[in-house]
Amino acid sequence: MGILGFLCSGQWNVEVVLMATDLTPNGTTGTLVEQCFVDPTQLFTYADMNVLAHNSAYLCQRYETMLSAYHYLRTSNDGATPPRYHHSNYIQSYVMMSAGSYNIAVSTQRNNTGRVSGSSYTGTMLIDGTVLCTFGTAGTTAIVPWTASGGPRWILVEARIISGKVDQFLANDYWVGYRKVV
Amino acid sequence: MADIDIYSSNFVANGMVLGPTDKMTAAWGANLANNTGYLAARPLSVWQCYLPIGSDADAGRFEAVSDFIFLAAGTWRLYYSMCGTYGATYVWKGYKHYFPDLYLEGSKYVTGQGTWGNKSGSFTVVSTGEAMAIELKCDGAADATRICGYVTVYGLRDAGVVS
Repeated sequence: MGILGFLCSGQWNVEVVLMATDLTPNGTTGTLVEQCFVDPTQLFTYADMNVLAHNSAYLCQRYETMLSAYHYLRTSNDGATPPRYHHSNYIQSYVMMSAGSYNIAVSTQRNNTGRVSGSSYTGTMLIDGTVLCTFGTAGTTAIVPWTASGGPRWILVEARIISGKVDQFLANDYWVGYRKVV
Repeated sequence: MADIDIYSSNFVANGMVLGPTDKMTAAWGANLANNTGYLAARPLSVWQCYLPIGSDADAGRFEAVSDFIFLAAGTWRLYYSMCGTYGATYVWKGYKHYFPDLYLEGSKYVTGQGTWGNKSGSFTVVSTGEAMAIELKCDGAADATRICGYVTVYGLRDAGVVS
């Protein structure tokens, strides 16, 4: 935005006055300023109060854990697709969340050491019945926008594995977190 | 002066950074207070324990789990969930499965024994700030070695009064 102004010829002193601006709680950077106490004999300044405002925005940027799990799954091929599961092919967690817009961060990583080196599967990460992302042996990292309605209420987060028609031992590590968008 | 309702507070980002000539209005102060209330409404992840759902000796049978959780001193509302969904091709679905009972400092807060199927709820505990023993077990169950499921605990510290 620009403003046109007219000045008479000659030398002028120009003073720039900062006005109220916005916090950036949805950004990717932020600094918590620890020097925020005011001594009894000091006067509050606008800068002192801005520290508090910035600190509240900084706290918005933390992801809260929703699901942190190690998922072990043994399968045996009985001719059907998918094969028989010796453990649940689901891992789930409920989280109490309020209504609003969120960024959901997802990480899935396969453990392929020793016995748990199976690799024939497809995975799906869901929240409240909606697919966040799919994953396979390569693992996945993703940040997915998602909206919660009708909260605060329990929101179900779940990882599901569909195994190939083979005998195998699978292990995947999951981490899912949320950050509310303001 | 009104109270902050942490469950309905919205975060206000607009116009919150003051310039040198701006006035600190009552509305600005209320917005700042509500921003802290908004942040306080997020339950904190306190503890998660995932016992594999499986009922043969290899697939996973557990008698008990012991751990410690840390909560700052004060009164906390703890929210828990126990999940145990399995699909149609799960081998051991004909067996009985039991959620564990959840104990804190030796007192039972959640009865999972004899139940299965996803459940959730909340309870209140008072912390001294020291480590608190958390246990999952199934005292006296017919199949006490068959507890399993995914247990999560979140916490909200009760709001206090500032004098």
